[in-house]
Amino acid sequence: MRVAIEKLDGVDTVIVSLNEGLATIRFKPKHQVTVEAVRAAIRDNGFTPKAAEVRLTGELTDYQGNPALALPGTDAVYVLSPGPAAGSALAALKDVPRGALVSVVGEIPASPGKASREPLRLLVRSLVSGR
Amino acid sequence: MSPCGQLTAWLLAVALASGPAPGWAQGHGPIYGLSTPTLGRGGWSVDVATMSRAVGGTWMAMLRPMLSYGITEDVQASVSLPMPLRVPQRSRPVRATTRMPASPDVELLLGWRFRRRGTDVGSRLESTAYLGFDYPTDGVRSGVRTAPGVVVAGVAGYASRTLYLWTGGLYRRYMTPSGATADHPGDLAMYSLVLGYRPPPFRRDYPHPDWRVFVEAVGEVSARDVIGGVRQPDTGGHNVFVGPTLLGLYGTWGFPAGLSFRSTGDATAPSRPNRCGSPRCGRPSSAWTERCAPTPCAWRSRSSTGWIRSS
Repeated sequence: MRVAIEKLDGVDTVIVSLNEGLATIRFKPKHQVTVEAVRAAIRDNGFTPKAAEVRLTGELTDYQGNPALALPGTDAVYVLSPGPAAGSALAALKDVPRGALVSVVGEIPASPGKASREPLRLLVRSLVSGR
Repeated sequence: MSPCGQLTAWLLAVALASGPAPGWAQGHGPIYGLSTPTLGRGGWSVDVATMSRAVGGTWMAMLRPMLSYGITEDVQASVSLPMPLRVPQRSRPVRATTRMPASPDVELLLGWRFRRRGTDVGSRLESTAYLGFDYPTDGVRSGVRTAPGVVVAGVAGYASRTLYLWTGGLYRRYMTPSGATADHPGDLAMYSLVLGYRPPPFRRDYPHPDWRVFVEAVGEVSARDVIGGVRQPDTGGHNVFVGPTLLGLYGTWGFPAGLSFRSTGDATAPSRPNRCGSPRCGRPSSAWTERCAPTPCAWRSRSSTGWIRSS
């Protein structure tokens, strides 16, 4: 699995801990790897991907009335939802113009199955930049 | 597009559950018994086996490479080719292991892991079915004409970072006409039970070495040979082998070793001629040598050398 993730164009380093059930992945600048692509590589190796802890930077947009992050260069859109410790992070986005670059930290819950056309939900914990 | 315009998700931590053993989905666990893992999608492995067997003062030797490929994460295909180095007239090759036959047959084996359920991080319950086809490269074995055969097998089990348990069965049937024209060696049934344990010092993550120990019990039940539609006396039988197996993994390489002892058996079984308990050692599953003591028997052993490479 480690090798399969490393083969994704844009992945810098991968550390897999089977004891903890955790893969930690660092990406190269300007990469276009999506969470879905990483999860597909995990599934292809017989593992079951669970929740992903991410730090994402993308263009702020709207998806069906909800704030979302669009990843430039890809079709990936992540709908932003308040996480357990989100505080006022999402509220602060109301003042951010659409199209601005925003960085958030949060969790993408496990997908119920294989690739879906529906955008993934990102439970925002904190807003790193974009205020 | 400016660098800032790109996604800069520099860190992604993905939790995993219920995956296969670390990088070793090809069944790199037991040597003789059945197990459930399959290769990942697009993954491959090369196993090379050297086999020899001596019975009653004669001995046979064979080189058997096996190439496996993961069609999907749950379906894999393997093909193994016999390369006989020495074939005595009286040889009676048996299957010996569940993963590849010790007989001079070309074998295509398809594995389908049809059930996989994670129970905790790194542990899962799963079941795999196998369908195989054998085609003999020889015409006569020990006075009996050979024929193509079909192999079906099923195995279910539990695997975790600490414990392994698999139980399964295999049946090989010759595809020959019935009645007076039937002429083939006896059909074969095998069953296996494998218990495995990974000691605490070897539960560390890659790139540290990974060692596991198994206890394997394999039963071989062979029907009587059929010549001209008549079942031949003094053929067929039932043998049960029990013994430990050790498996070491590092990177994409594996080095198994093991010993198994015949705990019960019939003198007329194809794995003859021993009436007494007989040790059988093998290492690894991909490459092993079988040596049978000449009569009057007191022991029978198998040993092996070789390697496994997978990606």
